[in-house]
Amino acid sequence: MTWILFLEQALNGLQFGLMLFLLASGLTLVFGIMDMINLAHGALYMVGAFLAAWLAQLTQSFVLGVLLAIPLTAVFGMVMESTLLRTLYARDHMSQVLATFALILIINEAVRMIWGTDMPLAAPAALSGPVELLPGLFYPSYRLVIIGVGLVLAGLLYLAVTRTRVGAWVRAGASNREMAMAMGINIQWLFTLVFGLGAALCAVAGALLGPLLAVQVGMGESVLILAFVVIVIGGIGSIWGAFVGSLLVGFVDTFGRTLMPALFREIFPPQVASAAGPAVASILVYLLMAVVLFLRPQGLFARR
Amino acid sequence: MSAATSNAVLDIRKLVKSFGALRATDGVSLQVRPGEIHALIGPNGAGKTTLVAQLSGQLQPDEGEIVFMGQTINAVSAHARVGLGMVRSFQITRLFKSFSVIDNVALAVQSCQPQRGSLWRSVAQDSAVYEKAAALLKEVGLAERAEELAPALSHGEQRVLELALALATEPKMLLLDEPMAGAGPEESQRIVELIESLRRDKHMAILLVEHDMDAVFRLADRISVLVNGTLIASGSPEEIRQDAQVRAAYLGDEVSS
Amino acid sequence: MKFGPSAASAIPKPASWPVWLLLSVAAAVIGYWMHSQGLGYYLSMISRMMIYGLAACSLNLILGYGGLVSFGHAAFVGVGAYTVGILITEGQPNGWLGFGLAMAVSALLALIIGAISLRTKGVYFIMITLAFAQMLFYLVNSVKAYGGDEGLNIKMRSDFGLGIMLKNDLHFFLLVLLLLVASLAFMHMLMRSRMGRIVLAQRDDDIRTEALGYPVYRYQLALFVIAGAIGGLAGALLVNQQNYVSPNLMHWTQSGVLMIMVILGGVGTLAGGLWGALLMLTLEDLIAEMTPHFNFYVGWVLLAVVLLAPKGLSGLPDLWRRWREPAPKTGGKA
Repeated sequence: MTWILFLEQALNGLQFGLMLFLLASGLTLVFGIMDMINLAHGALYMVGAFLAAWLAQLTQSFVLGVLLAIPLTAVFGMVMESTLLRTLYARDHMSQVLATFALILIINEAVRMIWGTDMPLAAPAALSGPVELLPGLFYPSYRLVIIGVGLVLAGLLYLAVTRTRVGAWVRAGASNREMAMAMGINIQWLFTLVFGLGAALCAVAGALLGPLLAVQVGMGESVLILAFVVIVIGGIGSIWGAFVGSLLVGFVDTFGRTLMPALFREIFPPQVASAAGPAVASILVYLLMAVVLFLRPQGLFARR
Repeated sequence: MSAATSNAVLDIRKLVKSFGALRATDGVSLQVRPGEIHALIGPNGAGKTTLVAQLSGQLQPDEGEIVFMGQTINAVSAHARVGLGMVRSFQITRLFKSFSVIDNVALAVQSCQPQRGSLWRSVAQDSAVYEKAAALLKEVGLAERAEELAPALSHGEQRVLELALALATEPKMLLLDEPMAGAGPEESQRIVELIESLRRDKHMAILLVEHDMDAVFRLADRISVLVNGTLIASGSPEEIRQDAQVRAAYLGDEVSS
Repeated sequence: MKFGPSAASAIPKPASWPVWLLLSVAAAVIGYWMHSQGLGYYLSMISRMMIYGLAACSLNLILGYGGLVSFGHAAFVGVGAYTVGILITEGQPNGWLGFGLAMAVSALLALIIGAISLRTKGVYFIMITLAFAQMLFYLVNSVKAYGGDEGLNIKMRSDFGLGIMLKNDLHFFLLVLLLLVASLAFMHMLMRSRMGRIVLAQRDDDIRTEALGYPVYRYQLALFVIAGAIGGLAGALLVNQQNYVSPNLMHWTQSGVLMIMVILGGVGTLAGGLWGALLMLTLEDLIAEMTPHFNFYVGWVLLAVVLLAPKGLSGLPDLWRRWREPAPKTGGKA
C-alpha cells in the first residue's frame, strides 16, 4: 500500500467516523439519560436525507435543502419523543425495542408512500472536483467539506456539553438521572431538547452522506447497527466515548474493507481469499466490539 | 491466629473496598462465632450493606480475606457460597413477583435438593420440595397466604417471606440485612422471635445488620459499630451502650437505657 | 395435601393431553381432507405458517420465559436452513442426517454465542446478540459457492425414507405438524420442570436467584442452546418448504419479525409464537393483495400491542375482563 492510498483511506475513515459520531452522540445521550433503547434513531437519519433530497429539488439548491431539512427533522424527532417515546421510558427494554422497531416499520413505509423507494441527491457542482492536498494526493472536495462540517459540529458539541449550563445538566443526567432530578433539573424538557438535537445531527449526517451512499428506504438500518456498536464500544452515556468509538469504527471499517481482501490474497489461495476477504472485512467491526466488551464490559468510557 | 478466632464461623480480615475516592469498607475485621448473633450497627451510609454484599459475593473486596468455616472464600462465586452454607437476605425486598408465596419458598428449598435443575423432574409432583416449603411457611406464620402471589402480601409480611427464603436453603450462617426494615410492629415481633428461635433451636450463627435498637439489644450476643467504613467499637451490648465514642457517633439520644 | 405450583404462579398450567391430542388429530384430518380436495397449495401455505410458528415459539423460550431479549435468533433458523440446504446441494439429501445436523450445528452455535453474550446484561446483551447475527449474515452473504447474496436453491427436499415423500404437500404438512407438536410438548415439559422454575425465577430477579445458590448463567446458557436447536429445526423445515434459503433469513430485522410474532401471540405463553405467526402471516397474505405497504400497518398494530396490550392475543381475555369490570383493590390486607 502506498502512502497516497493510505492517506486516502485514512481520510475516508475519518469522514465516515465523523458522520457516525453525529448519529452516535444523539443515541448515547438518549440511552444515557433516559435509559431508553431507540431503534428508530436510524429512521431519523433517513428522514433527514429524504427531506434534504426533496427540498433540494424544490429549491434547486443543495445547501438550502440541507439547511431546511435540519430543523424539520428536529421538530419531527421532538414530536415523536413527546407523543410516543415518552410512554416508553418507564417500560422495560424489550418493550422499548419492540415499540421502536414498530416505528422503523411505520416510518420506512411512510417514507416509501410519500417519496418512493429512493430519491436522487447530488452534491453541489462546485464541490464535485478533487483537491490536491499533497503532491500526488487528490481528494474529493465534497468529502473534505464533510470532514470539515463533522469536525466543527464535534467541536461545538464538545463546547456545548462541557462549557454551558445546559451541557452540565446533560452530563449530570447522563451519569445519574435520579440525582439530576433531585437537584431540580427539569429532565423531561431537557430530554426533549436533547432528542431534538440528536435528530438534527442525524439529519446533517443523512443529508451529507446522501450523495455518497444513496438516499433510499432502509438506509437507516445498516448505519443504526454501527451506531449502536459505537456506543457500546465507547460506553453508554459518554460523548467522548462516542467520539473515540466512532473514529475507531470508521477507521477499522474503512481500512478493513481495503486491507483485508489484499491481505488475504497474500496469504491464502485466490479461491479462499476472494470469499473470505470481504467476509472478514464486514465482520471486523463486530469482532472489535466483541473484543472490547470482553475486556471492558461497560465500554471504554462508561459513566456508570 | 488465636484459638478464639480459629473456630469462628465467619472471620473477616482487614476487608477494604473503595469506590473511586470513597472507602466504603476501610480495613474491617470481625468474627462471628458459632451459635452467636453478632449485630452490626451504624448510621446510614456507614457501609453496612456494602460489607454484606462483599460477604455474600455480589461485590469483590479490593483487599482482605473472608474466611468461612476455615476456608478462604474470596474467589468463591456468590451462588457457590450459598452451597457452602452462607446465605443473605436483602434489605430491599427481592421476591419473585410472578410466583406465589409457596412457590417462592419452593424455589429456595429446591436449591438444596439433588437434581435441582433437572428438566426431567416436574414441579407438579415435587413432594420433596413442597412438603418442606409448607412446613417452613407454617413456621414463619405465612401458611394461610401460601397460594397468593408474593406482591399481594403487605410490606411486613414480605419481609417475613424474605427471611423465609434465606432459611429455606438450610444455611449454616445467615447474613441478615435489616430484616425488619419497613415492617410494622407485629411483623417485627414475629421476625425477632424467629431469629431468637434460630439461635435457640438451631444454634445458627447470624450477622445481623439492623437499625431497630430494641431488637438489636434484645437479640445480640455481641455488637460491632460501623461508621464511615471503619469499625469504631466491638463488644457486648453493655460495653457498646457505655462506649463514649459510640454514643457520640451514633447512639446519641436513641438509647433509652 | 396439595403438591404443585399455585394457580397464581407464572409456571405453565398442566396440559390437557386429551385436548392436545384432539387438536392434533383434527389438524391432521383437516390436512388430509384439504389434500384430497386439491387444496395442496393452501396446505403448503399453512405448513409455512406453522414453521414460522415453531421458530417463534423457540424464540419465546428465551424471550418470553427467559426474559432474554435476543436480537439474533433468526441466525439459528438460518443456520439450520443452510445446513440442510448445503447437504442437499452436496448430494446428501438424507433427512435424518440433515435435520439432526441442522439441530446440532444450531445448538453448537447457540452454545458459543450464548457463552459470550450471556456474560453481558441489558442493552449490551441485546447488542451483542444482534452483532453476532449480523456477523453470520455477512459471512453467509459472502460465500459465493452457496449462492452468496442471491441465496441457495435446492433441487429436492429431504429424504427420510420409510415411504415419506416430502414433495407431497400432505406428507410435508404431517411432518411439520408432528415436529411442531413434539417441540411444544417438550417445551411445555421443560417449563414445568425444576429447570423451568429456575428460568422463570431468574426472569423476575436474577440476582435473587443467584443469592439462593443457583448458577444462573448455566441455566440461561442451557435454555439458549435448547432454543437455538429448535430454531435450527424450524430452519431445516423452512428450507424444505421454500426449496430456497437466502442470507436475508438471518438478518437482524428477521429476528424482529419473529419477535413481533411472539408479542402478537402472547409473550411468555407456550403457543403464543404459533398464534402470532398464524395471525401475522395470514394478515400479510390478505393485506398484500390490497397494498404493498403491509409493513406500515404491521408497525401500527405492533405499536398498539406493545403500548396497550403487552400480553398480545393471549392477554385479550384479561383485557376484556378488565374493561367490563373495574379492577378490584389489590395489595395488603387491612
